[in-house]
Amino acid sequence: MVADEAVGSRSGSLFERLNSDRHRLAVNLFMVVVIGHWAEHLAQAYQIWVLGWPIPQSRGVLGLAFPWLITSEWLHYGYAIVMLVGLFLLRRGFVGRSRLWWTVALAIQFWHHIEHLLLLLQAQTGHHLFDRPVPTSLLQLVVPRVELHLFYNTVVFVPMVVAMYLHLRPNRAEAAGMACACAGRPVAAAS
Amino acid sequence: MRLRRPSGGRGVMTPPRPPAPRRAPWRGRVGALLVVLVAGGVLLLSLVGPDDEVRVAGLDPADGARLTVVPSAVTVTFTGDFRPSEYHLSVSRADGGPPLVTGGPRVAGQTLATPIAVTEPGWYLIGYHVSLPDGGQLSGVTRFQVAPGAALPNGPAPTAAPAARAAGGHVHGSKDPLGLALVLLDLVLLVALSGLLLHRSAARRRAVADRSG
Repeated sequence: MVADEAVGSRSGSLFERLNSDRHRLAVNLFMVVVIGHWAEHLAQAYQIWVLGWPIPQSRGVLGLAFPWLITSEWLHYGYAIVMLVGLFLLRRGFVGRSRLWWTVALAIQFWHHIEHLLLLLQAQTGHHLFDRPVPTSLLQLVVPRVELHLFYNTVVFVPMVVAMYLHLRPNRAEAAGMACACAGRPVAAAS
Repeated sequence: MRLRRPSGGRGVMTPPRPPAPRRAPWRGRVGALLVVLVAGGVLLLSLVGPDDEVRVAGLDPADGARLTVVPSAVTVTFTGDFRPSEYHLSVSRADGGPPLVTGGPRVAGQTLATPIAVTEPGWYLIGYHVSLPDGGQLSGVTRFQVAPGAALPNGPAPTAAPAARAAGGHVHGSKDPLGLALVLLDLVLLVALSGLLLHRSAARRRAVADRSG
């Protein structure tokens, strides 16, 4: 009998499977999306700071082929939604310290999503917060020149990486409570 | 009885773990429903479609921007059917002084722009006002800062951080040291995460090889 197959439940709802026997696959796919997104940002920063391209021409990799992507507010909001849903759906598979950090990332992402929602509502209704001439986020009241998308994705990414580190290197108690094979070995039964 | 393998690698029959207390099923469903509702609401907003109402979509330089290159023009971008009957656009130092515009404001498509002659670092104010054919008016005052040691412009186009052109009113890509610091931090995190995932995969392959060997 292959012990690996005993990991997690082969039945149950999709939500349960995403947090047990499919957690590893789901987290990997989620990380591919996250890393791909950051690769685009890094490519754009390379174009701006190293290649010295004008900012309007510095559109990352996909933005070169599809220029509308870089200015599409809905695309960026869509990514915020994907992050929110992913963090929410995969949270239960994290155990102990890693769940705490994952939850921190989820909470920040939720606020990030609210900020986007405020911006979109202002843009749609024409009523701007604090009588500003353009749609304004709450963070921009404190740090006017911050690049909102970059800032929020960074402060979400930090606890995510910590959570991933702890999830992939659990202590004995956490390993005993894991229902997934993310840590690279089958789950040990609780003693 | 479920067979689980402990980390030591040998198959051992262990008693099944007592089932964890289940959370009330409605909690997960309520959470999922909330996410769906919010996402659906936003989607509906996006389907409202374009309207012709004239609004300010963005300014260049953006409000509060700190510029490392002296701007040669200011531009206000509008949404909707922008055909103003009157318009004014001016720039001056925040601490007072004459207007710094070097030509009259011009309307081109969705934008109202004017060339300016800024030579010194400091804070500047942009004031704009437009009257619309339906009697409506739009006006506002924003500010930007020219950093000490800012470079002179190379061409007619403003080379500062792009204004908040997008509907959300914020930029995606700018030549800002704060943005660069964030990107560098993300680069470090990205390398760490990639190393973590790749190392995990290698460890798993070794473990599988050990078991099969």
